[in-house]
Amino acid sequence: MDKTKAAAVLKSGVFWAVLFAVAAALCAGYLIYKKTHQQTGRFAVINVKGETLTTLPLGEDTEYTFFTERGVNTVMIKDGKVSVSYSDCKNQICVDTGSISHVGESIICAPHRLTVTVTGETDTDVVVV
Amino acid sequence: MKIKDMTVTACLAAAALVVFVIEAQLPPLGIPGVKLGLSNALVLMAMAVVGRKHAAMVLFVKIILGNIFAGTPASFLFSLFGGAAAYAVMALTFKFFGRNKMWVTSALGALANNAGQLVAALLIMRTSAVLVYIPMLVIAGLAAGIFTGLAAQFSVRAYDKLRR
Repeated sequence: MDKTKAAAVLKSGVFWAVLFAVAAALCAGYLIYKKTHQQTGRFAVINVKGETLTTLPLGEDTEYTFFTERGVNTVMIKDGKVSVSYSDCKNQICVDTGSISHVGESIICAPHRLTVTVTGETDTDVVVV
Repeated sequence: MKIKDMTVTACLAAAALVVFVIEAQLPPLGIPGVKLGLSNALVLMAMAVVGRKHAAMVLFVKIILGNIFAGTPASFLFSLFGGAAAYAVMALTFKFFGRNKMWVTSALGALANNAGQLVAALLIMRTSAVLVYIPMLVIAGLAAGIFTGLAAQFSVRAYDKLRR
């Protein structure tokens, strides 16, 4: 294809409409695929000021540091448990809470408006009598 | 700088600022950071009626004052990265697509805007967890970009008629 033809194609609205549609469809397909093939198990949901920042699977050992408007929190996942290993907040309640792993449990760092909540399949290893 | 260009630029900057501030008050659309970005239509319109340099001024005023009126230091950084990336892409592609395909320019700009904001997010949060938003940002960017581009296109047409 010579240069003028290539330019004509690039200038056509139809070309871009098709390209954008394909890109959007690919992304939508990926999102749907991910939704239906989601990892099972438990997750730590990190919320800041009520908005979910990210969701981390408890299955992988990781460490993330979150820089919020009000300060720094390091969230650590180890052996299927999540804890706040470091925080530069005043009261250190989040650090003192220790590790959590059961669905519904949460760690709250009120000074930074940060919460870590465990979600996922309901526990079968805990029986509350 | 011609007085007329200056006046038009100032009007567009004021309009962009108002749209930006109003949009910042709207509730978020479910996905953090995703919004229409209608103020970009005014930047694009400025590109068409007063040129690229003046459009940069509209963008600059919008980012600085917009974030003073309705923003946080973090949102300022997001605006700056996104706005600069979008402006660069739109300035480069605007002449090529012309006034009748501003929606293509706008969509490419919106994608660049989201890419720039993603870089800002990576810098602020220092976690690759933000990368999972990419597919969502592509879809949102295309939809919002095409919409704001069409809005700018119709506005420019109306402006041209008015000037005649």
